[in-house]
Amino acid sequence: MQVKRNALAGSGSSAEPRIVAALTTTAARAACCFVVRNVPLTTADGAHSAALHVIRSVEPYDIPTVAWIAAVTATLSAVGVNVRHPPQERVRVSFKDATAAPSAKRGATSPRKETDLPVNRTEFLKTGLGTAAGLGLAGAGWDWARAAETPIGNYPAGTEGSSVFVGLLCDLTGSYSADGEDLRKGYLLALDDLNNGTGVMAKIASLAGKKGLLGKKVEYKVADTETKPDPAVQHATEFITQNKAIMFCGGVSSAEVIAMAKLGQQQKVIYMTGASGSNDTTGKDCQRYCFRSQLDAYMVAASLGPHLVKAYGKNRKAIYLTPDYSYGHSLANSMKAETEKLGWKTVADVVAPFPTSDYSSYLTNIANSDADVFINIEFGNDGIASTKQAAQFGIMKKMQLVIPNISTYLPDGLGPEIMQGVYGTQDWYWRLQDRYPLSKIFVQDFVGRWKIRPRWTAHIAYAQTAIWADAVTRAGTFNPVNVIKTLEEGKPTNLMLGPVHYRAGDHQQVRPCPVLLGKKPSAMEGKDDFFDVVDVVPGERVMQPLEDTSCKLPAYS
Amino acid sequence: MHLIEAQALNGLALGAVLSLVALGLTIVFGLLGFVNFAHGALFMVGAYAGWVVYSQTENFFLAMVAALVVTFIVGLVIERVLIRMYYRRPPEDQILVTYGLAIILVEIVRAIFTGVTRQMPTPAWAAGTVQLAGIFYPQYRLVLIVIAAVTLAILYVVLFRTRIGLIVRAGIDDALIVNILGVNVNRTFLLVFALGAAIAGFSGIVDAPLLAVNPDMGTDLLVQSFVVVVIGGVGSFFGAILGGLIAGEIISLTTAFAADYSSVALYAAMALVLIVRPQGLLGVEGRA
Amino acid sequence: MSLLEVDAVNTYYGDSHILFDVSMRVEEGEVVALLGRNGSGKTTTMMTVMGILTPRSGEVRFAGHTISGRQPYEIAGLGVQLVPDTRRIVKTITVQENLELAAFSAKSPWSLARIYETFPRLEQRKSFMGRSLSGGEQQMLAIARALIRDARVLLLDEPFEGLAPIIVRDLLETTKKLASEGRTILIVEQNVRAALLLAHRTYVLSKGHVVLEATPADLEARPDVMHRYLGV
Repeated sequence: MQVKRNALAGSGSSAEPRIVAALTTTAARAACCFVVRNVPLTTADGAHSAALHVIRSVEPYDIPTVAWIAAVTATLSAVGVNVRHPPQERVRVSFKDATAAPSAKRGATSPRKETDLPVNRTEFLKTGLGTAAGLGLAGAGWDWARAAETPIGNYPAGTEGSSVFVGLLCDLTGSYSADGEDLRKGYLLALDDLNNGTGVMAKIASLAGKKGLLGKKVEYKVADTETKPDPAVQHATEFITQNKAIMFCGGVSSAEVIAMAKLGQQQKVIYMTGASGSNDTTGKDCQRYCFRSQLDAYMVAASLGPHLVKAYGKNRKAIYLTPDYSYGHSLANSMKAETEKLGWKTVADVVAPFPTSDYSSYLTNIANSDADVFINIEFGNDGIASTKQAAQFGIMKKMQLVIPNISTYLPDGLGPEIMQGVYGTQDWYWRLQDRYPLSKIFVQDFVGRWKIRPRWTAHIAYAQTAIWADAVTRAGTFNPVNVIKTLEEGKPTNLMLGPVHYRAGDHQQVRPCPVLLGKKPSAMEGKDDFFDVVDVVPGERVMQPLEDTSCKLPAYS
Repeated sequence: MHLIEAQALNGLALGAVLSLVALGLTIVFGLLGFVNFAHGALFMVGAYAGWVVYSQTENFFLAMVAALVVTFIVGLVIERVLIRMYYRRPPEDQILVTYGLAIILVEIVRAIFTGVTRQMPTPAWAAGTVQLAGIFYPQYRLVLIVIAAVTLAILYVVLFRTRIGLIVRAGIDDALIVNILGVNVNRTFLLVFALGAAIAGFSGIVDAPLLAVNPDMGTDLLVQSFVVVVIGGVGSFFGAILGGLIAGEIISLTTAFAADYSSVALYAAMALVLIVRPQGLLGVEGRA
Repeated sequence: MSLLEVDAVNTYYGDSHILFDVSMRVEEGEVVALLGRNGSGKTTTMMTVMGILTPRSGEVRFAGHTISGRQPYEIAGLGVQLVPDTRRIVKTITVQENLELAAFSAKSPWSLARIYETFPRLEQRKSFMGRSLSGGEQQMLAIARALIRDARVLLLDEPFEGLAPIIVRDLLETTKKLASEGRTILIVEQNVRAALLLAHRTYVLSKGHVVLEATPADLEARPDVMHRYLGV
């Protein structure tokens, strides 16, 4: 290697090309994430994650490399880039940020935000100063009143400024990145609606005619979880400790969601899940500080099962393809239990690691079984790859395909030829706007903001944010214990699926469950009109009995 | 026992693609002396270039050509404006810069095409199944084996029967002496980097009908093809093929009988090779 | 004007200063020996001339062109050819391919037939891989590779090192023959006796400085210098 480098003449290596290399990497991530997708990841964050990746990719750990990475980190710190706290303290510098300080009651300690609002400087200053002034008198008394309460989590520390902070964790890269991007769009719309008093937020009784939450602006930042639990927890921790997040939310895989829920419980910060279909999320891994709105596996199975039996008859033989983690096993087991109860047999449950790109080995086993229904539990890009490859194996010629939990952009990746006649469920589907007026408003506003229709992870994002905001307003405080108790009262919030509420015993949302059937290509009106809504099953009818959930909610404090 | 034969065939198809991807990686690695972490991203760029053309023309051959041409040009540009500055730098810098490049490519594609998975269907003429000894097997996977074999054969001719091939092979072993003997290695490096990129891009489009076409599709593949290179031996043409086939069969056969251990088995095989023959099965001892 | 001129060159290896104001010249048709103990800077001088290392100050000129700062392949294109001390035979290609590789960019290469005439041993081994050659065969191939390029100046770095005496004798004959044909050679050699047999003129290097320029006869007449700088 030494001599090879000399091949092009010259010698020696000074510090600055190394910085250039590091900066190329970091600028890459920062520029792309922040310019293109408006995610305020920063140069330091890029360096940090690049460094982490390099460290992870060098195995067994090569001491000089790791040492060198430490050196780069140190160098970057020296030139003024703080690497220790990647996504928090480095904020994109723009005129929007420049106005943050005057609006903050406690000045410089206010967490800065990414607004995404098309505001100009003066307008922003006015609102900021107005808010600050409005809070002036009331604020003093409020602080005094709160001094009597026991601090818990980030309360009251995170609520002392003129704004509160919410951490958004989205799977922007990795196997579930399409779902994560939709999730992000949903959060941004929800929080802007909340701050501006517009959209579906304004239709919620407690929030009508108000801007922000309890008179405070809700600020937020997005972090990329990479569809992995470790980065998810790492970013969430940073949001909690450095931004004093009063609530955090997001995640698309149950593995991430369960890990973040644990963190929320430990830190006593409320966590509203993103997408999570595993029974464990509100079962054996349930947490007092975690609330889940998506259908759990049991609800999917209980809603879908009767339709399958009605469509395909009794005495069918099903084979499963299942991703090897909490969600996969949970949904496969629920589907097996439900369909077996209704008279079907299970031929086999073929388990594949998560993630996988080549499914040929698993599909060979499935193709050569005597099953006549193929139930594909795979999700996201894995769902697309496995289904595509199954079609190539001719599996759909001899078996009926069922996808119990259809990920947001799966139909786009597979095309209507494969999707037609396929039964499944989604948390929400835009065609539900024909049944629910708030869904109609939601779709309209979302299209206005993002130029495309929302998918169901955006629905989760919006709904979860709205329910939390409703609970905070009704509780009249950000104190998480009061907010949780308000949510546990079971008083419904009227949203895109009508009135919904959480069950107090496990924090699973009781909500309508849409059953979908893939349309024929000829029947589609537009390119995202993939499904007919064949049924919307009332949530109360398909909830798993609380005593079967093995959920024991931990203490409030 | 048809199932075992079917799994062996799966391994062959998987191994064919892995060989191809690993070959691009190994010649760049061999000649330039460092791992191109952007190889997986170039695989993805090829898939997208092909997908764009396919969605306009429905012609898979044009898609393959587009993938080749686009990634070749991308390779030329990258080598010229970026990689060239790093040949004399420590390996850590090289890793960082190609890693950064991978992020740039992935994010550019995400910015243009969004993160939504694109629908890349199986070409109609290869969409069916064929019956082989009593089992149904996807025609496209057989086509894939043929495409990979033909491509490898062409590359063999280029590498072993042409002047530029000789320079590349010599450069992989010792770039300095090639330089001393009057050959402009800068030009060779440029060409080889672009060739490696084109091979990655080509693999991307031929593999696309099997995969979910999205910006992250190349990420995991990079790791597997790196394992293939280690097993086969850095810089070795036949090593890449042998390594690819071994890896493909290991993954498929362990998946069939003990799915939980498929990736473990692959890494165990790599560890075994590293213990018994650190330079890789067909690698040459004592090189970088 | 000399064919090859090294003018007040200072070369560094990383941060360590190796050559201090080294100056020397080689005339057309001359054989010049570069002598000195291990670590005196002989190989560094050769690498500087070939363009593998770039001097921080000073200049190397060849046939009127300034070549310091240029790439090795450009310098080779002008007619300077290094036979490195480690020989650097490409291990993964055959003997013949090694020769073909060298011939690619040569202006009027020797024919393979002429090379095989000079080195019959290489013809027997032409389809063997580079890695299978013995030390003597590698050295023959390394010199043959330089010859096939028909270079105006050969830089031979320790051509006899580590070889059996009988092979040294053969190679010495070959080199003598090349010299008598009028080829310009700059040779570095630990084997002082062998070098003095070949050279028209010598430079003695010590710790990166040129300490003496002398004819072989003058040098042999000064046992103190031979002892002090060359350990003979």
